[in-house]
Amino acid sequence: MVIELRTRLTKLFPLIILLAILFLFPLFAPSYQIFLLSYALLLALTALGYNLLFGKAGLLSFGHAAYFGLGAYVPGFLTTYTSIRSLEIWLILSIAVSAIIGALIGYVCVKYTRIHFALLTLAFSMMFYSLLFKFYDITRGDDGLYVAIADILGTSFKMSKDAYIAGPLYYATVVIFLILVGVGWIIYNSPFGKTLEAIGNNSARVEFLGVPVKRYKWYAFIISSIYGGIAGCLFGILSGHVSPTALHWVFSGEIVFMCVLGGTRLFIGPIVGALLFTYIKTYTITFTIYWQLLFGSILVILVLLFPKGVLGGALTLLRRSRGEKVGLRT
Amino acid sequence: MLVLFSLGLNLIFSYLNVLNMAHGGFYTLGIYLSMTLATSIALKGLLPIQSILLLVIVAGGITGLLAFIVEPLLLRPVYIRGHADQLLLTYGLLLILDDLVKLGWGLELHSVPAAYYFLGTTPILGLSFPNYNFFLLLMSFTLALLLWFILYKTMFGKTCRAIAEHREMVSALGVNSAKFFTLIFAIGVVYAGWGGSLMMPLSGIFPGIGLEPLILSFIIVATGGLGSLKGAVVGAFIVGLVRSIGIGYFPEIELMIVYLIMAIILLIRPQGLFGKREIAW
Repeated sequence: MVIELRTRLTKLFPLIILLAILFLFPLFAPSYQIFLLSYALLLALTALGYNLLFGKAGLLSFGHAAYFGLGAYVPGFLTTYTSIRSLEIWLILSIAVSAIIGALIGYVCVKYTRIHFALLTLAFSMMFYSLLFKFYDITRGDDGLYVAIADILGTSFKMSKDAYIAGPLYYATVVIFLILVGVGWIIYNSPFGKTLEAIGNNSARVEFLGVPVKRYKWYAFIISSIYGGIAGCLFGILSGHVSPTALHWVFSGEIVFMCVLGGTRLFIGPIVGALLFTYIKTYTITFTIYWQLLFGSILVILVLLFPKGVLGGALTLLRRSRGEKVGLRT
Repeated sequence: MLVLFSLGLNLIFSYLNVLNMAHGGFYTLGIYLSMTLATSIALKGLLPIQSILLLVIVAGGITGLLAFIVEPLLLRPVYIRGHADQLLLTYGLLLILDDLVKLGWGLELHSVPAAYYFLGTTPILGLSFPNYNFFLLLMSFTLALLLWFILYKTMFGKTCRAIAEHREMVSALGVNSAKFFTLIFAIGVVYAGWGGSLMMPLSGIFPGIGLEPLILSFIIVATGGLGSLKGAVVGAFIVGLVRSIGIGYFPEIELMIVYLIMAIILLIRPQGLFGKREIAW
C-alpha cells in the first residue's frame, strides 16, 4: 500500500513540479515572459481542442482560426459597444458564440470527409474573416478593436496593463488552462474519445457497429470550437486588441502545425507543440525575418521523417533504444 | 490568369491526387523570375510583345525545373499517406518558397508596368481598356487549349490519363509511371509560373503575393470540381465575374459572396460543378 502510494507519488512528481513552476512563474519572471507564456498556454488550449478533431477523429479543418478569432472579437465588441467589463460574462458569451457558430458550421461540414471537409471549413472561416475585414463601420476592419481590462470575479483592477497581465490575468489563464486540460483529459479517455479515435481509424467500420458517426464528429467539432472560443477570448484581453488576422487561414495553418509538431497521437502532443511553436517563432523572429523558411523546413522534415511529431518521434527512439518492440502506435 | 493557376492546381490534383498548397509559392517565383528577366531584357531593347512572350516561356520553364527536384524528393514519399500529410507538406513547401523569394529579392514592393503601357489601350463604350488585358485573355485561352491538347490529343496525355485510371496496370505494361508523375507535376507548376509571369506587369510584386491567388484558386477548383479541367475554367469565370460585379455594387461583401457561393455549391454538389463523384469514404 505504502509502496503503491510512493510509486504513484513519484509518477506525479514531475507534474507537481510543473504546476509549481506555472504558479510561481510571475514571482521571478519579467513581464514580457509572462505575456509570452500566457500566449503559449492559450495557443496550447486551442491546439488541444483542435486535436480532438484532427488527431482523434481524423478531420483536417483548415478554418479553426475562425472560432479563436470570433472568441476574441466578443470582448472587442463588448468593450466598444457596451459597458460590460466582466471576464466571466465575456467568457460565457465567447463560449456561446463559438459553440453556436461551431454547431452550425460543423453540422454542415461533418457530412464531408477529407479534402472536402478541409475546403469547406476553410471557406466558412474566410467568410467570417472577410465580413470582419470589410464592415469597417462596425468592426474597424483591418485596424481591429480595442479590448479593455476585464474585471475578474467581480473585482476591478486599477493597475497598469503589464501588472494586470502578470498578475490577475495570468492566474486566470493558468486556472482556466488547467481546468480545460483536465476536462480534455477526461474527454480524450472517455468512451466518446475512444469512439472518435476509432472513427478516425476506420469510420466505415464504426458506422457499421451502429455508432452515429456524423453526430459524434459534430460533437467533437463543437467541443473543439468552444476550446478555440475560450482561448480566443482570453487572447483578446491579453493582447488588448483584436484584428481579423486572428481569423485568417494562415493562423488556422499554424494551429495544424502545432499539433503536427508535438504529435497528434498523444494527449500532450498539441500542448508541447504549441509551446515549442510560440517560443521558436518568437525567438526566431528576433534575429531573422526568415522564420517561415525554418518553419517550412521543420514541417517538411516532420512530415517526411517523423509523422508522429517531436514527442512521438522521441518516444519511439526511446523505446527502440530500450530494445522494446515498436508498434504502429506510440 | 486565375484560369492558368487553377488549371495547374487541378491538373496536379486530378492526376497525383495531391492538393498542392505550394502552388502559390511557384506563382510568386514565376512573378519574380519574369520581373528580373523583364528588367534585364528591356535593357537590350527588344520589342515589348516579343519580350513578354519570351518572359512567359522562360519564367514558366525555370519554375517548372524546380518541380523535377521537388516531386521525386519530397512529394513521392507521401503519395501513399493521407491528404492531411500531403497538405501539410506542401504548406511547408509554400513557406519555404516564400522565404526563398524574400532571400533572393528582398522585402521591397516592386512594380514593372512597362508592358502594360507599351501595348496601349483600346476604347470600348467610352472606357479605355489596356491592350495588355486582351493579350492576357488570349494567352490564358491559348495555354488552356494547349493543356487540353496535350492531355487529350497526344500519346503522352493518353498515358497520363491511363495512369490516373489504373496505375498498376499501366506500370505492368512497361511504363515508368513515376517519371510521368514528375512530368505532370512539372506541367502543373509551369502553369503556376506562367500565371505569375503573365500577371507580373499588372500587379505590385511583393513576397507572399501568391497567397491570394492560391486561396481564390481553392475556391475555383472546389466550385468547378476538384480534378476537372473544364471545372477549373468555368470556376475561374464564375469567381472573376462575381468579384468584378461585387466590387462595383456591394464592395463590403464581395469576398464573402465568393466564399458563400463556394460553400453553397459544395453543399449541394460536394464534388463541384463538373467533378466526378467521390465515394464518401
